Amino acid sequence: MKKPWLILASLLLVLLVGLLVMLGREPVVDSGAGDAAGAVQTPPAVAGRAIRIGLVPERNIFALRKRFRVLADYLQGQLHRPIELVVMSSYGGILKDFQDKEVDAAFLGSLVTVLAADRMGARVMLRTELPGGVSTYHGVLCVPEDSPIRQVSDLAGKELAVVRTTTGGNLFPMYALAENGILTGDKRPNLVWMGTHDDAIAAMFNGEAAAAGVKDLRLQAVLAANPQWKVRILGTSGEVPENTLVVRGDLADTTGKEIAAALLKMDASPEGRSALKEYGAQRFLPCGIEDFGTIFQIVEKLGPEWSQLGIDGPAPRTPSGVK
Amino acid sequence: MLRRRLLLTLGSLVLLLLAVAISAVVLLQGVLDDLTHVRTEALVAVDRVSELGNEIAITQTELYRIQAGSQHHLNGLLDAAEAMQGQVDYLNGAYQVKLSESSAAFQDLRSQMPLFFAQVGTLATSQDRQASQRANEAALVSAIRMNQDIVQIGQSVRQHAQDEQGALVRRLRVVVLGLAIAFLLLINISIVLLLRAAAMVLRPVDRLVEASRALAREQFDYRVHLEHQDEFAELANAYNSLAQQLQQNEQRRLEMLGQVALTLNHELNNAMTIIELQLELLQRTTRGDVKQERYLRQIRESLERMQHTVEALKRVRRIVLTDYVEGVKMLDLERSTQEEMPQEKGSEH
Repeated sequence: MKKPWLILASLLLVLLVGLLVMLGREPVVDSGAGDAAGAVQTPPAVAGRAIRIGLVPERNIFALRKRFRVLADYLQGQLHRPIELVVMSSYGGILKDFQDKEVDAAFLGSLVTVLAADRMGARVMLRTELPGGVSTYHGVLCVPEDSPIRQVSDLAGKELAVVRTTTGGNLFPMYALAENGILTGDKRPNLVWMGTHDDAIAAMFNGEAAAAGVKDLRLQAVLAANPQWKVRILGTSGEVPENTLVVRGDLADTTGKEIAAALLKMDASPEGRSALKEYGAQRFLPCGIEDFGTIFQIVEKLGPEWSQLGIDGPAPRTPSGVK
Repeated sequence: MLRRRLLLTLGSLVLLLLAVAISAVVLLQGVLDDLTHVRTEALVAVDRVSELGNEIAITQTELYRIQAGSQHHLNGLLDAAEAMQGQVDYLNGAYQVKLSESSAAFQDLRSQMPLFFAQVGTLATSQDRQASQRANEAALVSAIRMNQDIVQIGQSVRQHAQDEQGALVRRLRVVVLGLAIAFLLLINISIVLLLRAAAMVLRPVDRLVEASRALAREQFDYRVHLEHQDEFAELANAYNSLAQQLQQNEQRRLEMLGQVALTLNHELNNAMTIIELQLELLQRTTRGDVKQERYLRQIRESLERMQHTVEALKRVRRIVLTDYVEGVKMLDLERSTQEEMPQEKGSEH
């Protein structure tokens, strides 16, 4: 007779304890969207002085930072050293940082690469190959398809949208104007300085400028996004490497080689390919100053008219062996 | 029956305790939930607004430094801008900023964010110094406007958090006071129920103990009557049956004793009458002889005592024994003829 009571009492006790435990639960705290976005990931073990890599954004700075963070995380895992990204607002800043040894390496556009190599002794290590095997680009001078402007010389006195310190938006358009004898004098077009290639293309279609000097890859991307926009190309430059990794001269044989080696083998591993995909590239390819022959040729042809480009300092000198 | 009543009483007490305990836990859990809400939402929103204000201030500082040419790195500006976006995304899900006091300011702040980001983007990507400066100035204007918004939102969110804390404190006070009163009542009810449960056992036990004592005193007419028909009532009935049986036995013994007394009275009276007549005759013949007269007086006294004893036997009302010699009892004639003493008589229940 006692056993059923004991069992019942024990069950009641267990039930009571369970009920109290359930009632006394710790409330689930909603950590909020902000925390969810910042999901914690175990960072790879890193030590030593940080490698500082400079960036001069060409467009969409916030998306660009995210892409480069993927690359930085990959490099950090490979080199076991912290990687710090330093964003500069202008080419002048990156040159100054190379000089002051504030940065160890940088991803730069072609014209700034040449300036860094010429003025700061920086060494070109790699270039980026985009999906589709594109690792070079051209500068183009274009007008809307319905524009009466048929040739470069027709730009005389017209508004030309350009982008400072870029091959496609600055060097090549000035060279084209110089070649057609309208870089200086009364016939010189009115230069409308825009912040980015995309801004320059938009300015041309918005009527702020009659023509634009831009990078062909950006023109193709903008036209793809705006199918109603059609252009007529007035001139195209030779090809120049796309987005290159430049390393400070004194680090080129040490840290520079380590970085280049890690990036060059990225496409050989699934982890590297995944990072490359997020970064928006297919792979990295070896690159050197000799691949910038187009720029040096233009600079040589410009001669003293380099000063018309609006870039501080002297024109870059052609290194020996570069044609 | 007794088991059922005890189970009912103690079970009710346990259920009452359980109900009060569960109610207390539920109420306190509700207060804790509110506390958690205040801690994880109201105060977090205050922190987030404060952090957003700090981030906006940082962006302003960075923009001023870039404008002044003392800063050409954009990391600080971009980090702060991205942090701002994170805080705004969080606050967008917070109910506090949807309250009427802060809704308009928050909507204005949200509408400024894309503009601000575009201006910072232009500042970051523009290779034209003048365009950069224009973007910088525009971003500063946006930041100042967002700062004004966040000050207004901050005041509203802080006020709301204070109101929620105040309401929580009031609720906690009511819950604690209510629980204190409930527990006091519970203690009182528990004492009453336990006393009642104890009385269910102790009261009949007391009566049965008293009845046993009466039985020990050979007070066989003592009876126990209980209110409830339970196990104790069965015990009381058994006792009453036993007492009745003993009382009947006692009555039979008394009747037998009375018959013995009558027989003795009958048989001894004849003999004693003859002895008395013979003593009268002897007294007449021995007049003047002192020694003879003393003997006759002693015989007469013994004869009277015998008559008295026989008479007493006829008056026996109860059987009270006393020790004659060790291990042998005899009738206590004096007490057996007396009525029971008041203290010896138990009350009938």
